[in-house]
Amino acid sequence: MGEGHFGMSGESILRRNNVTVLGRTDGPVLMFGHGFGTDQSMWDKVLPYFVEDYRVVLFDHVGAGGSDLDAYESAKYSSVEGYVTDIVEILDALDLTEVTFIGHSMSAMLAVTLAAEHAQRLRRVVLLAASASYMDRPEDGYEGGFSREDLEELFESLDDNYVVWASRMAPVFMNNPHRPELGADLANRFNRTTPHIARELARTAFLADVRHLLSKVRVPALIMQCADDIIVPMHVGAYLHQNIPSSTLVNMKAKGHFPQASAPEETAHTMLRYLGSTTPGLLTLV
Amino acid sequence: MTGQRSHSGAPAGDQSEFEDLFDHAPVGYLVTGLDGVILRANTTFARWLDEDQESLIGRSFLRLLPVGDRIMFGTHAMAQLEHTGALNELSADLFTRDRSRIPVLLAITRVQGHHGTTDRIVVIRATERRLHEQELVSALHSLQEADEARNRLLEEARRQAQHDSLTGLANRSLLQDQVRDALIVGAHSSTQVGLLFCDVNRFKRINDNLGHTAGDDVLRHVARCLDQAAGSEALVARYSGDEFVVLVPTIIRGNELALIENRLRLELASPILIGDRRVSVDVAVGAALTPSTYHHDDVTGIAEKLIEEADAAMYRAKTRAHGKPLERTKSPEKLRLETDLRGAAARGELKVFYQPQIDARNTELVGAEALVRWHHPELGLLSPLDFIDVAEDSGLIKEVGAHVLHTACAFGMAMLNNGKALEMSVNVSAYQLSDPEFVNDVRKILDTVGFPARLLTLEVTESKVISNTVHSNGTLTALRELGVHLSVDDFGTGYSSLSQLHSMPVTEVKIDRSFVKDIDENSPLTLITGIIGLARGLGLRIVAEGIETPAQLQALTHIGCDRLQGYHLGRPVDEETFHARHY
Repeated sequence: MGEGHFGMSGESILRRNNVTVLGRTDGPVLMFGHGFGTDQSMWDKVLPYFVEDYRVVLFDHVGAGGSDLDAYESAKYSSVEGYVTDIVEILDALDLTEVTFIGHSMSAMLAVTLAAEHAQRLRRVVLLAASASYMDRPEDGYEGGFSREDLEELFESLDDNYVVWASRMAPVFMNNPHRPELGADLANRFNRTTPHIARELARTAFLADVRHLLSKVRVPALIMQCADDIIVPMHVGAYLHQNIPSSTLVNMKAKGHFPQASAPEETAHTMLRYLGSTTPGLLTLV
Repeated sequence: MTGQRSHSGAPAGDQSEFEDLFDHAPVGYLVTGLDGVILRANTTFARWLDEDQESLIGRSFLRLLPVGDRIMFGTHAMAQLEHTGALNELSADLFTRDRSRIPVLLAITRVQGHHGTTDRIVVIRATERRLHEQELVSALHSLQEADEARNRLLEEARRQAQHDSLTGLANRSLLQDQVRDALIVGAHSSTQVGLLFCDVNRFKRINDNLGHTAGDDVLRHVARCLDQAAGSEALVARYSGDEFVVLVPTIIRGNELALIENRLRLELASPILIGDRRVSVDVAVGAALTPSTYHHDDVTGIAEKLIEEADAAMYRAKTRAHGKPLERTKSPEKLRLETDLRGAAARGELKVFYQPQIDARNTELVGAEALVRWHHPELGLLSPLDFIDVAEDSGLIKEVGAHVLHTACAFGMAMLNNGKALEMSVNVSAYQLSDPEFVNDVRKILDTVGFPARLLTLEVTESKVISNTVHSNGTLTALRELGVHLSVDDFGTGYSSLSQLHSMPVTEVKIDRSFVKDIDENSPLTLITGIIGLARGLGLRIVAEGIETPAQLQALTHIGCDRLQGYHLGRPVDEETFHARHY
């Protein structure tokens, strides 16, 4: 199928999400999804481990990195579903199946949703620094790490400070070898337009709750939990493992929220070991 | 920290000088692990935070940030630090010991040292700068607001160009655009596009008699009703004068257009008040669907054709309902009944009465025929004979029929819940049978009420069954498939040829009362016996109605009728009376 979405050719979908395809063309497909606050360049340090044997698909969520900011619609992206729709459209546009989707942070929530609702497109999912809900849910005792009040404060400070933050953060997005065309013009545009996007994105990510989908994950899942992650408390990894049917939990030595950057070797090797196993679901039994 | 540590080659005095410089510099200095745990902090930093220098060691630097900054730091700044190894001039607040905040700027460098990798953090007080930043941010906010206000104005201008100012609906040009768009989508996704074309009946007369303001009120009323009826996926447009079009871009259920039309008729059921007059508004509606496949090369042409087709269908509907369109003359009595009948069901004026049906073999009560009565607020109780013509003529029969069917099924269900399986017979008009939605309506009523289809019999007049054979055969078959019984009412009076009757999916005949009336002690029963023989030959259940005397009862019981009905056995009565009398 040449067109995944009416009115939007495959090509314009790839442009919208700034899709990059690397690696071995006939290799199994790995799709990497970045989290809140970053873009596809976050994966740079681990890519060398994969490109020889795998076909690697990278993209930016609409609103981030080199995506088409004009494609941003508040209504669509106010829920996880909007982002999931985009990913399915990318899969359609590239005609990909049997995909292993590797989701970091917020994208791990998308991975869970994909694995529950579009499992036929997937082979496995990898959940890196993942959470099922960042917000505490006092009604059933779940501790996501942040209270409602904490998050209200985050949203408030995004309102007040994001412009200042973004002006500091912009260079990281510019520092992308795959997109040398990004210039000062785009940087300006980025600064001007993203505060409301960041605000809404933060709401979507931090208020999302995919716990009800965990038991519906239909493909094997690898959960990679980091130590001392300021965003995801340690017990969340175990929680995911308990609730996702055929899942494997690996507690990493890497500290912090960005193991793919701070500990690329451990991160890549953990994934490769998992990808190389023929019956990943059974690892949980061992 | 005192100058205990010494590097080779550095004089002790210099070392303590450096320590002093480190501790008392006009900036805060921190060394942290990659997890943010503070390994070292200078005196200045501790003083700013009103903390003990030693007590800061081992604590998380990130926990000194308010949660908003902490999350931003964790998701954005850390990412950059991991990526590029450095961060400059990052704005943040820090908590002092008493939880007040001080605005600072952070510069962070990641360093590979002898004891592993650490982050060096330089902290600068930035109260002044923060004020400037805040000004900048508020300037940007107001710029954005101005931008948004401008966009809103542009949007409003665009909206006005595409909408009708009287009704607020889409105008013709927007409709045409949207139909074209829908056709392209439909061609790609192999879905159908549907249109309803609506024309306000007698609008000219309303305009002429009541004035243009009243006419405008009527148009706005119709627009509102259409909007309510069409649902969020559809586009409602004012096409011209008193013509409206509903576009359903993607037909999901086959009966979608009919459902919209039904909802529209419900919305329009109650008259509106214009000045001190109650005016009944109704519309003629025509529908058109795209063929299941078409090519999207000429969407403009297809769009025009689709609108024309819906328009033509509307015109046909108008002809069907009113004889010659726009030229119909009606007696004032009929016009009045029509106006009053509109919404009568909703106002509770239509009552359903039930006449018992008895099993001829054992005289047990087995069923009831539902008969409608209209409690007209001024004319009193009206029988169907008084108003069914008007109902059929105006199309209101659909509403009336649905009401009776629903009420009868609900009563049957209530009886069933009391442990009494009572079969319900309900009359159906030819108009209802010709409605493509009828089967669906019946199914829906049965589903809603929960009444078993096998306990429902629909009675159709013989002449109507036959004259509509070709047209309604599909409908009758579909009704049978639902499990509903079909009865030929007034059997023997029509022109039915047996061969036709044989080919129809009916299960019961009801011998016309005229045959029953002729029965008395002295006359022979030849004719009626013959009729019963015919029906029996076809394997049909035989019901005799109109039984008014013991002699008739006696005779019919013995010549092979299955069921009996008539004043002699029980008059039509309301639910309560029926229940009290028979149980």
